[in-house]
Parts: sequence; C-alpha cells; structure tokens
Amino acid sequence: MNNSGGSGGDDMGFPDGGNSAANCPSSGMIANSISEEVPMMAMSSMSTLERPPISVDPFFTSGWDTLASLSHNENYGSSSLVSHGNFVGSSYPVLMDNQGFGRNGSTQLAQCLSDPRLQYIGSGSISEMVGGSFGLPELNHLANHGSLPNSASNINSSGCERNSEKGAQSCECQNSGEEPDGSSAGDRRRKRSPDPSSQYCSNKNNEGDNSDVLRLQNEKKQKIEQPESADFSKHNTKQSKDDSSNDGEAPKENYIHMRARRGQATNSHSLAERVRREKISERMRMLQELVPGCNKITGKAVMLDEIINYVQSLQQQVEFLSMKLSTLIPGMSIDLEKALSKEAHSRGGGATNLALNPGMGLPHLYAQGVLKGTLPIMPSTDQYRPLSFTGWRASSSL
Amino acid sequence: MHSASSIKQKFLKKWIMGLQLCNSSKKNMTIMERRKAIKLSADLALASVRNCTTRWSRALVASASQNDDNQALLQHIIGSDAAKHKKASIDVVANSTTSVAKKIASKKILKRSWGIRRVRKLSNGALKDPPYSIAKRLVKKRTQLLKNLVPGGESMDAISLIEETLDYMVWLRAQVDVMRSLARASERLDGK
Repeated sequence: MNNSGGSGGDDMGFPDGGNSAANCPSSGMIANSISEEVPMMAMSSMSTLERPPISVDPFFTSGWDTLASLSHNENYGSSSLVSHGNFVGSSYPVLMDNQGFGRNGSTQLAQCLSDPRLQYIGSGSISEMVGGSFGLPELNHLANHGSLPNSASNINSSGCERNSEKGAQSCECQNSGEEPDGSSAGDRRRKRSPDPSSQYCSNKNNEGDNSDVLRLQNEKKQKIEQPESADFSKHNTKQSKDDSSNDGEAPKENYIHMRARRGQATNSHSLAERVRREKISERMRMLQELVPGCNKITGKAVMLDEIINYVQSLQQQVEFLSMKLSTLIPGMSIDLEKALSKEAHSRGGGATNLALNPGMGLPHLYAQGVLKGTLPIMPSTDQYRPLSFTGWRASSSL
Repeated sequence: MHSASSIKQKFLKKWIMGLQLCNSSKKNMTIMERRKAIKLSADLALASVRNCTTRWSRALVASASQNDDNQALLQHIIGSDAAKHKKASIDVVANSTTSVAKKIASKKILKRSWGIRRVRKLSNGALKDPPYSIAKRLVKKRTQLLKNLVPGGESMDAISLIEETLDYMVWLRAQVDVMRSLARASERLDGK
C-alpha cells in the first residue's frame, strides 16, 4: 500500500515535536534545520514554513500596524501547525526568507531577524501585504533602485518589538487553546466549529467531517505528546481499528487514535482511508501557510492550483536569474568574490547571507582578498587552485 | 539562525565551485550553455547541501548523472559523499523508471475501466456526478501536474508528494534568494 511508503517520509523531526508545545511561547527560534537539530526549532521551523516568501522591500509596507494585525491573524491560523515539529526535508530556517527580504536597509532587518519571533511575524505579514511572490520581478527592479533604507529600518525596529510580543502571545494563546482540548483526551466527541480544512476531507461517511477535524487536531496533539514513527502509527492504526470496533471508550496514548465515531463505519478500510485523508489535509494546510496568499483558500483543488502556480513561478525565477547571471558574468569565475564582497560592504556587512555567519570562509576572504579562505571548504583538488587563484588576482585588479 | 545562513553559504560556495569548474573546463560558452551550466551547478549544489536526503534532490542528482557531460561537475560538487549519493540516486532512477512505468500502465487500465463504468452509469440513469467526484477529478489532475513539476515526483503518492513539494518550495525560494543576491552584486560591480 502506498501509504506505508509515503508515511516513511513522515519520520520528520517528530522527536522534536515533543518539545514544541512547551517551547512555543519561549522558543521563537525559527531556524529550522533538521540536521542540526535543536528541538526548540521545531516550532519555529513550522512557523517559518508558514511564512510566505519575503519578496518585498520594507518600504512597501503601509505600516507595521497593519503588519502586526496581519501577523496576529496569521498566528492564530497557523499556530496549529506549530505543534507539528520539524518537517523532515526542510532544513531551511526562516532566516533564509528574511534574508531575501530586505534588499535595502536590511541591516536593520538583520537585527530584527536576530529575534526569531520577529522573523516569524515580519516575514509573513509583509508577504501578505504584497499578496504573493508573483510580483517579484517588479519588486526586484524597484529594490535595485535602493531606496529608503533608513525609514525602512526605523519602521522595522519599531514594528519588531510590537510584533514579537503579539507573536508570543498569540502563539501561547493558540497552544493553550489547544492544550485544554487535548487534556480532556477522553472526550473526543467534543464538537468544534468546523474548520475550513474540514472541507478537505470529502468524506464518504457524511457525518464524519467535524469529528475528522477534531481527530486531526487531537492527532496533532498526540504527535506532540508522543513523537513516534509513522510506521508505528500505521501499526497503531491497525490496532486501533480492532479497538474501535471493540472498545470505544478508553483513550489510548497512541500515535493516531482512530476510534470510530458515532454513526461512522468501523470498516478497517474506511479508517485507514480516513487516516490517509487527514494526513493529506494536514500537509495541505502546511502548504497553505507556505504559499503566499493562500490563507483563505479552502479546498484541495484550488490550493493545489495555487501551489502549482507558485512552484512554477519559482522555477521560472530560477531560470530567469540564471539567464541574467549568465549575461552578467561573462567570466563566470572572475569577479564573483569581488562582487560578493562589494555586496557585503554595501549592505553594511551584516545582512547578507554570506556575512551573517562570521566564522565562514567567504567574509574571511574579503579581508584578505585571497582565495585561500575557500580552499578548506573544497575537497582539495589541486588542479583547480591555480585557476581560481588567477581568477582572484584578476578580480583584485579590477 | 546559524543554520539558515550557513546552509545558504554552503549552497553558495558549492555553486561557485561548480561555476568555476564549468568555466575552467570550457571557454567561450554561449549564453545558453552558460545558463544551463549555472542552473545545473545550482541544482547540484542544492542537492549536495541536502545530502540527498529528500527525494527530489536525489532525483535531480540522478537526472544529472545520466548525462555524461556532467560527470566532472557532479563529482566535484557532490564531493566526498559521492558513493552514497550516487548509489541513492541510481537507485532512485532505477526504481522510478520501472515502477513509474508500471504504475502508469496500471493506472491507465484502471482509468479505462472506471471510464467505461461511468459511461454505463450515465447512459443508464443519466446520473449527475455528485460535486465531490468532480472535485476529485480536479484534484487528481492537479496532483498530476504537481508531480510533473517536482523533480522525482512521479512515483510518489499524494502524502509524500505534498511533503516533497513543501521541501522543494522552500529550497527553490532559497535558491532564488541566493541567485538574486549574486545577480545584484554583480550588477553593482559592473555598474561601478
């Protein structure tokens, strides 16, 4: 069955998921690198994933008040995902978004970025303001004109404080809102107002929508409580199918507690399918957070449409940028470092992705103007050294 | 935070290395070739940074390794983990080609049977499709599109497809950011 194969990929950082609820209010760490693994990052990583891409300059924002309100709203909608823990493949922290974010005056942004919560809020809200990354080429163009770093920075710094507070609060609110429901785990029949996401579950069992959503949320809580592998969940699903037919009352600490609800079929097939559908809808929600401007869309088809458009646009951007680079850099190796160093200087040296990590080789290079900094990184291939070295010499002569 | 910038840095470094390699190997490349080289080295740098843990990165590497011209570049960028990655990528390629073909064939058979059934139903009772079946069809069409977009996505089921898409989107965004910053830097350089 395909699910087993698919759920193999579910072994995300669920070991981190256990901490995420507790860490939500305090963590704020948005960095989301699974390989490097700080468990706290689990929550923030999801938060970052929730953020739409940052493709707008700060001065586009009409004001941090609106941004704060937007982010606030977003927080409520997305914090449910926060509890999910790391996402396996995505080892890109939010910071990545924010770095592309401030083309000009991004130094201040970099300061803001140091507080992960700010990233969480600022990036998402601004992108919402822009209404998506589809206007990227124009924004880029405008960004290149290099306007108003100061005003942007002022706005950023002032807005950041407020946003961080709100972000923390909303985060806490949402998690605390979820927790009481999870605490009364025995009573799974509590009805909630149907989420928009319930529409994802086009049920064959018609009564099942609310309960599906509820179980999905409970499922998430269980995932918080017990991070376990997806294989185990599959196993539990099978177990609980029997349990559901036999024993409907005792809540078990299973990864996915599939209990047949009132009026629903206890057919093992339908239960398994429900699990599958819920998984899909979970991930669709995650995607919804990631794709800009998709918070109000409900329904798989439209959501998928948006996702497809977004991925296509990103791919086209890559093509466009690679074409642009190919025209810009005829030598292709010659002035790269020089260009990067200039970029670092223009940004105050604090905001580029290169300069942010002071220990790495490239900034080190700038000081010396020598290739040697990069050599340790390469697997040492002597044949390439003289070539690149001459390249650097050429660049220094420019 | 550190990981974010460090990942971008890693990607950038590998990418630059790949570009240098390309440049050193060929002189007087046309623009199209250069573009391809840039994109390719970017993709490979991506995949190597991810250590081929995700499916789409493996698929990228696999498709790149099939082209013999890229072998040097591939080896250079993938570097020390070459053996692992190559195995993984080769496995992916092998599995994908065979299994995808089988899956596609079986799905086609199924679709044909379903279509026949639907035609029968319609002809019999002029039943209107309930809205959710229409939605299902739409969703299926779009998942198919998405599978074509995401590298290595053909052989995945819906759940893992969505995960891979998430991952891939995040990566694409990072790639766009890095490339854009590089382009701006070089623009500034040329401007001055």
